[in-house]
Amino acid sequence: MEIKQIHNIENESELVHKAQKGDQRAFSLLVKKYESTVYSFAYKVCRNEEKAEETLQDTFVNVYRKLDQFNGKAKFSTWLYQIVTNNCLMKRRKSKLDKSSISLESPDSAQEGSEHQGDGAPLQTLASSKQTPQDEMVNKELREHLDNAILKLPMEQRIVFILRDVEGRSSEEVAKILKVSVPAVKSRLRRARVFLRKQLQEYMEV
Amino acid sequence: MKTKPVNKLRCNEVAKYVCENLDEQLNSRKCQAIKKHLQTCPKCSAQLNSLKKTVFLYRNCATPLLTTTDHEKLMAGLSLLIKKK
Repeated sequence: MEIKQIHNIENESELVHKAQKGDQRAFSLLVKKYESTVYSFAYKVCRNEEKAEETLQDTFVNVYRKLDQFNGKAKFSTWLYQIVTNNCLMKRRKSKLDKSSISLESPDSAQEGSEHQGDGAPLQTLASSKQTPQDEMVNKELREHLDNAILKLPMEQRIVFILRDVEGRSSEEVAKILKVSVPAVKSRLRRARVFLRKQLQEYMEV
Repeated sequence: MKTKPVNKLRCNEVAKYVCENLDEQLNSRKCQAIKKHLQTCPKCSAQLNSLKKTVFLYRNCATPLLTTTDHEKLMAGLSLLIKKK
């Protein structure tokens, strides 16, 4: 029933406005609407369910605390992505788990180490529903390869790649989210794409 | 100062442009020249395909779904925060 209510609300800004005025129900509806987006994005960045859950919690705590600072000039989702990307960056800084990441200047030299801990979700989309054990093995191997490769990217490039190529946000919106210029987004994106392509080279001829 | 005609692009320029602008809706003169180059250069064309495949793999890599327990945990945490306020 609540999902229907969410879809019935044509004007999201009205919902945000109500939440800003202290309407807890409006705030809960906003959480319900965006929680999967935030969790999914956080998982794609850190490739770890536990960290994604923590990021989800931190993000909505920050949303609640900063809601009165949202002025409606940008889309609510853009503002939300700003918060979740900041949380991902903070988490990396705090835990120092991004030791494998290298400077923005030399993506090609990143070879050592990985944040990947070997857990995570099954690669449902790439896997067929009628898999043979060999298929499953290839998919598991591919998923690990994808995880390991992306975790070697510096966080700034990783976030740009996920926002632009995986989430399908425009370069302009990514620039707004990260508060950088469009050329800076394109430059980070190019480095990320080139690096990942090289990392996945062995799967390109299949 | 001499400017290089856009139809005489080098492969490394094409690679840089493609890597920056894949998926962008561009229709500039340079973009047209790049498309023309890609039609006649197997090396650049192969690079473009491998780039597309890389993006495809990540885009189609499923993520775990948020469970009811995760949702409840989140709402419980937020309720406490709201009460404190």
